[in-house]
Amino acid sequence: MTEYSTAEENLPDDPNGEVQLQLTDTDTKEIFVTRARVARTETELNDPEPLTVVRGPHENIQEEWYVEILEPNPELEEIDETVLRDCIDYSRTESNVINARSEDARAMVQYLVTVDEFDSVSDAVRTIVNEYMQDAYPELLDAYLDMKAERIREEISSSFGENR
Amino acid sequence: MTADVTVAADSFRGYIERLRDHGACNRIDQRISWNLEVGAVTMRANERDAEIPVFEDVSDESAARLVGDPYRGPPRRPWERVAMALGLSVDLTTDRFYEEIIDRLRSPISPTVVDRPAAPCKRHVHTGDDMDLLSFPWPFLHVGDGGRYSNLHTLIADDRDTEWTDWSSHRAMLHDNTRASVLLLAGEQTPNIYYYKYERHDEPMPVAIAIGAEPAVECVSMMWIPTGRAESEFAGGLKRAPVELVPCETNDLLVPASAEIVLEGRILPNSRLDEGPYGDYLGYMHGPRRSMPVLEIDAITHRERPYIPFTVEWSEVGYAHNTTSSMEVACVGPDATLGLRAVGFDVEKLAPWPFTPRTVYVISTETTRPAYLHELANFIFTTWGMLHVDFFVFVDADVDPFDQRAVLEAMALYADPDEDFHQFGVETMPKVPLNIYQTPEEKGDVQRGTSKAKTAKTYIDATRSEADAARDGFERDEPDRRQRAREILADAGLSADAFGTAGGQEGRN
Repeated sequence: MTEYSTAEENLPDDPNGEVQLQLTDTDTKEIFVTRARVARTETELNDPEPLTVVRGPHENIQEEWYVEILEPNPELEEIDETVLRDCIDYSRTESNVINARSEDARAMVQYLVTVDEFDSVSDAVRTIVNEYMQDAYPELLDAYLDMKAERIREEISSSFGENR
Repeated sequence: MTADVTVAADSFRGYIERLRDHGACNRIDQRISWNLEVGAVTMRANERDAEIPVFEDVSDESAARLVGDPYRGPPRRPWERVAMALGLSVDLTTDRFYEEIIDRLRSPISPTVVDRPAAPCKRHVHTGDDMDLLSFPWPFLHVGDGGRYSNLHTLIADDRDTEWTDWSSHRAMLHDNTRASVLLLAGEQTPNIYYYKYERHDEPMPVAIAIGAEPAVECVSMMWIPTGRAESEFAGGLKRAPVELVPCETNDLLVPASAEIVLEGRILPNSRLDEGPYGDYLGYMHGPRRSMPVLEIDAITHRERPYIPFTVEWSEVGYAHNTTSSMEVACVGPDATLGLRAVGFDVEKLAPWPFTPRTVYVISTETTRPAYLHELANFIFTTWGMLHVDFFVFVDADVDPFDQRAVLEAMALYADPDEDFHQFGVETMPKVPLNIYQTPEEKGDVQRGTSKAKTAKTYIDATRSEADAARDGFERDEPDRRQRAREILADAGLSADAFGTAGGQEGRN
């Protein structure tokens, strides 16, 4: 059984439900971020592993919690640039429409537009997706922005080249 | 064949051999874990002034070896191992040691560049998926540390806007197989390059970390070499031979070819990871954890079975030394003395006060006019001493600044609490957040490495005034009185050895 530790300041204000959390593997001391559930007692979790939460200004006060790692997401730790490039090509050359096909999602998004929280359904979906991406897949967002910037530079450079 | 010990060791492993030849090295073949055990053994060795521990077997995953506080010197002669490493006699007095280091620093020698195949640090080259940073046995040193550290190395970075390359020492906490957080405190040279040049332009700063480079490189990395001057040339001066450099695999930097391990990478702009908590040099675990810049590793090159030297911070508090405190005396002391002389100050010697690393310094000086001392304090507190140094004690040139009894005596006799304790820059001076007298709230978060709450500096004028000196001829009789006192104490059974000092100033015992 692997044991983990984290600092109280890494825990969200409401630690119930799924949380994104920085953990340290106490054997290897590797530090990583993952999605997880945490609880004070092991019976609250399906697959509990010991979690030491340190707190106080010098982190010398310890509490024993439990953690269940939900989503190590190893396949997303390394962004596959070829796949990402293909996806960018696809969204440029094919349709850029995202179809969720969900009455529930449509109803809630429509509500946000109706009460003027967003200008349009497209605006609402873009904003919500971007915020979620920032939170859940920051590496993907960074890689996408880098690749997009690189493409723009290449296009500008090639455009100057053609005019020479 | 035994290497010539009158020349500087030209590699870290050459220095380990030299320690071995002097019987100053304890090779430990038994498995000792990188996880707390090597730190505990090293701390114990530091406390007892025992041989330098070399841990030959620390991990199933790696054949790399660890060396605990390799430059730690004896309590009374903390510069001794640095002297040995640089090919100097270990019997030198402090004065002679200082002047020898100063002479060498006055004669810099430019480095040479060797081809990759000739560089020992290129024996193994790992890039991309072949890299596995955590497979090396980086030590986890104190219970409560935020992670494993590389803390005895040379960080190499080019200035963004000039031809200058800076070598410095900034610890790195390893997070995973490609990333570390690096303690960059604004106000120091490399951090300033990062924060005010690269990050301001949203550019990554290419860097290399040379671990276990030859001793002269390690020494200059600890020194305060002026901005714009290349440490590599001063390392050549210390070594009295050029330092050999070799190009990196993934960037344009040049690194010491003799290094045991080289980490190549980029310190990313506007990206932070936790650094600390850490058992720091003042002898306490301190918080809060800070957000520090992220080092993304691009390549790892290393020698066969590399040595990883490390220092156990906080073991230098009390009466023990470690590498940090020994090099503070052996490297920073002579270097800062030279630096002050170079800008025209008439100082005899600058000495770090023993066992209070980077916090208190004593300066003996021939000129003692109050305005002159103020100017001297102003120079130090607004340049290299701004972040770490809290206060100075100025003493007369005939007081050995390494002799704590003599310095305290000078303070007791000549420092008038009303007139001679000077506060400097009240509530305006930045302070390194590693101190323990500010609360976590006062320190605040990152603030680019300095505490949110500003503080003051202090200097104490413990020099004799003209009236003191002329009073009753006390000083003229002092050597005789001292000798007489020692004879009485020796007759009473106290060994003459007890009268030795860390200083060993010329002409005094």
